[in-house]
Amino acid sequence: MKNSKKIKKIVMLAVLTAIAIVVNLIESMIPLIPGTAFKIGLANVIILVVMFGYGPIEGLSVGLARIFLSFLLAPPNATFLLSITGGLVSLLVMLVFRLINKFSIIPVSIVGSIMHVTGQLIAARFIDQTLAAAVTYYAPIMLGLSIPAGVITGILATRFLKFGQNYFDATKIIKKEKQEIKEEE
Amino acid sequence: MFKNKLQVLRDVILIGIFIIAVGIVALVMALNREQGETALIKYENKLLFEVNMQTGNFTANTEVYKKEVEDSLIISEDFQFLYIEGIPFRNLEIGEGVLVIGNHYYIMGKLGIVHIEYNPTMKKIRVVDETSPYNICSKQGYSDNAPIVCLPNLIYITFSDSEVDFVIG
Repeated sequence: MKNSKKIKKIVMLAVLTAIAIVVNLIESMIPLIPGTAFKIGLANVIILVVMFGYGPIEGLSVGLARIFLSFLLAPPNATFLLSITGGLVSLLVMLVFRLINKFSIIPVSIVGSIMHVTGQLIAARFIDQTLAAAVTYYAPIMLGLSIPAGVITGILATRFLKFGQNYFDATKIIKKEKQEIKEEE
Repeated sequence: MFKNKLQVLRDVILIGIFIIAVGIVALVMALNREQGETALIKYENKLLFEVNMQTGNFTANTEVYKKEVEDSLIISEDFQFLYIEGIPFRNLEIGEGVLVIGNHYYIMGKLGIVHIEYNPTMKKIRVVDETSPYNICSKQGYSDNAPIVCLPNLIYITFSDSEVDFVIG
């Protein structure tokens, strides 16, 4: 029984990684606002789901796998380097907030999407000065848009978790929530 | 989700802190935006040429190929080559050289020819045509302060004060 549970978990994580990569690829083909390159970051939904459904370490491994695999799939140009650094920074910061284990999905998601923009800004500084000048021009708009984007991904992740509760190892969270409620009482 | 009051309080505090921080940073960045009068067209970090947005004056930092504007001049663009009246123009190299035809400028980006136009009546600049997967920079249209970025071609158009040292007058 134990073995089959482990296998089920590994398969689920692999499927979720694949979903994250495909979602990312499809999303990059459809611009949110035509003529720009703004994206909501739907792949983040999957990482949030894994982080809160399974655990922070699983979330980190799925996130790193996603970034590594999309690195192999996409041509390594400047845009891609930016999005990779943004993804890494947002993943690590979300991991920290998940490890603190005191915040729910939506605030963590907002922090993640803000950090995605910040990571891109920092990366642009190091890669190319001209690019940095161009990215800094759009930074206020991108930072402003990142908050609603974070809310949307957070809500989607909450829905996803509720919908797939039986498939995830969600018992841990429920137990912890119950414990906290008891402690308060 | 809203069963636990303490949890909601924590979440609200975290969101509040981050929104305030983002607001301050965004405001500072928006106020520090510099708006220059010159469009700088660059390949990576290398300045290719400048166009003064008010006068349309052209200053090059690279080899210039000038063609006279005629009514009969026919230009067709291909993936790799420019055809001027049917004759391929082969002098442009990636990130090197600019072909000037009136207010139209042709440079070679990483993926192909990038056609840039200065509009003297609107006093704005745009990328007319280029080769890239999503054509983001040519869809952006005219601009006089927002930078135009063509990342696949490594061509950037930014607006600031002139960077060429030898400008006189």
